[in-house]
Amino acid sequence: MSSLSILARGERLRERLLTDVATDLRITGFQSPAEDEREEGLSLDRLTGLGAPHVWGVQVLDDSLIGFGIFRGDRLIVNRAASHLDNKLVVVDLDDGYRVRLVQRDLFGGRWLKAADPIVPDVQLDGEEIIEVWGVVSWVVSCVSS
Amino acid sequence: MSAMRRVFALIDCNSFYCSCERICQPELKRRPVVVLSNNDGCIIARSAEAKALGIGMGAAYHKVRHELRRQCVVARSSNYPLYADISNRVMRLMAEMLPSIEVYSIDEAWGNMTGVADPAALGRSIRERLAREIGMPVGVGISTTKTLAKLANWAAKKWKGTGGVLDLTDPVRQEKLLRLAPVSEVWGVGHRSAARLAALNIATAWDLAAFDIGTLRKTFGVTMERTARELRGISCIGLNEGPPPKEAISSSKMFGVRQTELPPIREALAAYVARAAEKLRAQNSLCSSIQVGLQTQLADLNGPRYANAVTLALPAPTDDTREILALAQRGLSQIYRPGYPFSKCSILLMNLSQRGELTPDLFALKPRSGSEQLMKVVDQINQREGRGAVRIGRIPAKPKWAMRREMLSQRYTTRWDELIGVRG
Repeated sequence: MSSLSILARGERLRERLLTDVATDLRITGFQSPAEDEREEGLSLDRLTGLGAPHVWGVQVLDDSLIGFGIFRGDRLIVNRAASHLDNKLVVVDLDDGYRVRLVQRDLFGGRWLKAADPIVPDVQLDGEEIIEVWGVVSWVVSCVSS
Repeated sequence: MSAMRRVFALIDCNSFYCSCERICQPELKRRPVVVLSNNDGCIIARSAEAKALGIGMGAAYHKVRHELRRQCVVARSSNYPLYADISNRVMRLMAEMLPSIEVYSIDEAWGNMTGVADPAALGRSIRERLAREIGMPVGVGISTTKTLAKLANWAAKKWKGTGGVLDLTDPVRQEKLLRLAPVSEVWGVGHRSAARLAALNIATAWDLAAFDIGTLRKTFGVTMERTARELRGISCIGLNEGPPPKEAISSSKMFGVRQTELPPIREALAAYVARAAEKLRAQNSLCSSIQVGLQTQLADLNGPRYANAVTLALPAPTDDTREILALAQRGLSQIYRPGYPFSKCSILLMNLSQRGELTPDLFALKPRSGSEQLMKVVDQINQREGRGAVRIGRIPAKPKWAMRREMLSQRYTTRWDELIGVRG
């Protein structure tokens, strides 16, 4: 039983993210039968790629993206290395700051940037004016329990 | 078989601090930008547009403030958490693309391109990925020695036709550039030695490369000899395996406002000691002695001036913030004099050794029990919850002596509530 109590204390510390300390608190008696089958825990970093040089976080400043199901205060994970843009939400540098738009092709293959609010006119992405695509939105992180 | 010819690349970010600000604030892309030193003292980085307006490097901000406003130049306080994060992204991307790199400073790195079939093509693709994935413009210089690569980098930035990448592995092209480049642009040649070289009729990099090696060694020392050899294409400086642990760690900052009383200076010293001890533990070292310094603004010739420092030995090598702080405060009491308007205090940790390297003194005082574990936990909590989450009681959350940073941008990449903003 004593070995179990040490494990529990280690787990408690692990939960508080003090992993280095917790690693030292190994089972010292009988080897756990689960040890060989142990897998890495869930990690939102690994899932979203956060921490890689080309993956950036941004925050939504107002309610103008509700049409895309994105709310004020949501965080978006943006992949700046992604090159496939069609039907993706992208962050673009439009004259007065970073904007989120949906990339869609028209019948002739031209690419357009559509805003969440239908009142905002579409802008041609591959038109005469050069528009910098800053990155492709890959995840939306919302806090729903405020 | 002859040994494979070594090829070095120097990758250097353009106006690094300004570029970092621009990545996170796109409206700055269309305006000239300058970044100021600690306490908003002077200009330490300028965007190309700001340079073109004739704004000088190192200019005192309070003297040029009105001129900047008139020319619509945006000024920002230095935001080191942001610069460190973006530098880290840049270095990791380079490390991914090159066989090995050596980080030279926050904004430049050496890359090993030995054995790469087309170094210029690799240089272009590094440049392109850094621009696309991080938004950082860079220049890439490539050659057979570090000194030549550095010179190639200078040329890549100076001449637009290079597209920001210059491969100088070919001896014919090397000679062409060496004949064009002023000797003052050579890595390792400072302003003072450039003047002394001029006296010997050495005006260009080519003149230096062609000069008699023996005379150079006698007149300027072995460093200049090595520089000349490197310019001739003989590689004398290799890639480091990684920087050795620091031999001393210092933390010193100017106060935002002059301080005359002892209590706020004690607070500031506590904050600097805490930071220095954190760095000490990060490299797994212990320190045996410390130096505490205190000074007024020495450049101010009209006011009362005072500067003093005291060196003290710790009873046993330690990395415990509390031990170091107690001694540092004692040192401060020794050198503090009432009535002076102090502008800066400093702590220097010296005689560093690696943990476990020294045999403990049998008769020394026992370290506080659990000290190592406690410090580890404090560092971990601060790493995860943000600096200062757990701190010595003497350090206030919002100190009065803190640096002036009136134009500070957000920590766009390291805090969830300060991320880059987007709209619909």
